[in-house]
Amino acid sequence: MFGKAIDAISDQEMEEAIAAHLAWGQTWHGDLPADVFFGIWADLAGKARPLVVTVQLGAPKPVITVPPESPLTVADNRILLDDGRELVLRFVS
Amino acid sequence: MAFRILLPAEFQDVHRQVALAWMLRGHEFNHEEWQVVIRAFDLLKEAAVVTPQGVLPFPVIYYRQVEEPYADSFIQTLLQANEVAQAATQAWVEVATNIPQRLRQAGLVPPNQPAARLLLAYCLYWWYTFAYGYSFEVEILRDLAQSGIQFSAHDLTRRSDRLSGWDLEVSGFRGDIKRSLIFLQTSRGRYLPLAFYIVRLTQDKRAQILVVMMHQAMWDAIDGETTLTTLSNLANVLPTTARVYVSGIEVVVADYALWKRLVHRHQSGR
Repeated sequence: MFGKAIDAISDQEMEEAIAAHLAWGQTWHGDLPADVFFGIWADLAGKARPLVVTVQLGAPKPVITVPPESPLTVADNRILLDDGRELVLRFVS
Repeated sequence: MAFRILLPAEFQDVHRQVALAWMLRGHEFNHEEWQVVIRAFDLLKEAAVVTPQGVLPFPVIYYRQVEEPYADSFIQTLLQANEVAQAATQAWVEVATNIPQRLRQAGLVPPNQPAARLLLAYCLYWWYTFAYGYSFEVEILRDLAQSGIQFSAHDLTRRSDRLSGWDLEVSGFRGDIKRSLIFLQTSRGRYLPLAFYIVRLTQDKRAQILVVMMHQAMWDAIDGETTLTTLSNLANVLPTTARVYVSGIEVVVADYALWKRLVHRHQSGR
C-alpha cells in the first residue's frame, strides 16, 4: 500500500524524501478535503465507543459487572483497564 | 548502552512505510493513508532513542531540538507579518531545512542506524503541524478582530499559554482554531470538550472552506437553523448548516462567515 519502509532505503533515497517534503510542504498546509476529514472523524469516533460498567446497588454490597465482550476486568470493587491501569471504586453513603 | 531506537510494540511495518510515504507525498494522501499516518505518528510519541547518556523519548528530543530553539521566533514572525501565510511558509521551510542537520549534529540520526530516520520524520511531522497550525490560528484571530467579533484569546508568545486547553473564548463559549489535519491528530474522538472548533477544509479542487463545528448550545445561543445529516455525508451538505451526531453527541457544522454574522448579531444584542 505504501511502498518501502523508511529504514529500508538508501541514504540517497532518504535525502530525496526530505527534499520532497520540503517541496510539497510549501504549497499544502494541512487542509484536508471535507469528505476525507469527516470520513476519518466518523471512523475515529466510531472506534471511540464508551465502555459500559453496571453497578447493581444492594446489600450486602454493590455488585459491579461488565458485558462479556468488554476489555475491562472486574475484581470485587476494582476494574482493571486494558492498558494495565486500575480503577478502584469506593462506595459511601 | 549502545545507540538504538526503542519503538512501541504496536508500531509495525506499515507504520515504517507510511512514515516514508508521508514525506514523499503526504499532500496526496487519501482517507485510508491518513488514518494510518495519524496512528503512526501517535505511536511514535512513545518511541525513544537509547544513547550512552541515557534514554531520550522522541517528544523530549522534538522539544529540545525543534520547539525550544525555533517556536518563539516563529510565532513572532507570524505576529509581525503582513501576509501570515506567506511568512509562515518561508519560516517553516527554513526551520524544516535545519532539522535533519541539527539532529545529525546532535548524534541522534547516525548514518548506520536507519531506524533513527523515524525520529527525523517525527520531528518534521510535528514541526509541520506546529507551524501551519499556528499560522492558521493567527490568520483567524486577526480576521475575528477585523470582523468586530468580541473575544479573548491566549497569548501565543508564551508556551504555557500555547499549551492551554482552549485557544479563545467567544460570548462565554470556549473554542479552538485547528487546521483539519491537526484537529484529527489532537481533538478527535467521541467527546468534543470545547464548545466550538474553527476548522479549514478543502472542497472542489482544493477551494478552501472555513467551518465552525460547535455544540448545539452555542448554536442555540446565536440562533440558527440546521439540516440533519450524517457525518459521512456532511461534505455533500456544506455550506448549508448541518446537524450531525458523532457517536451520540450532537454537533452543528456551520459556514464560518455565517457563524461570524450570527455571533456579531448576538454580541450586538440585536
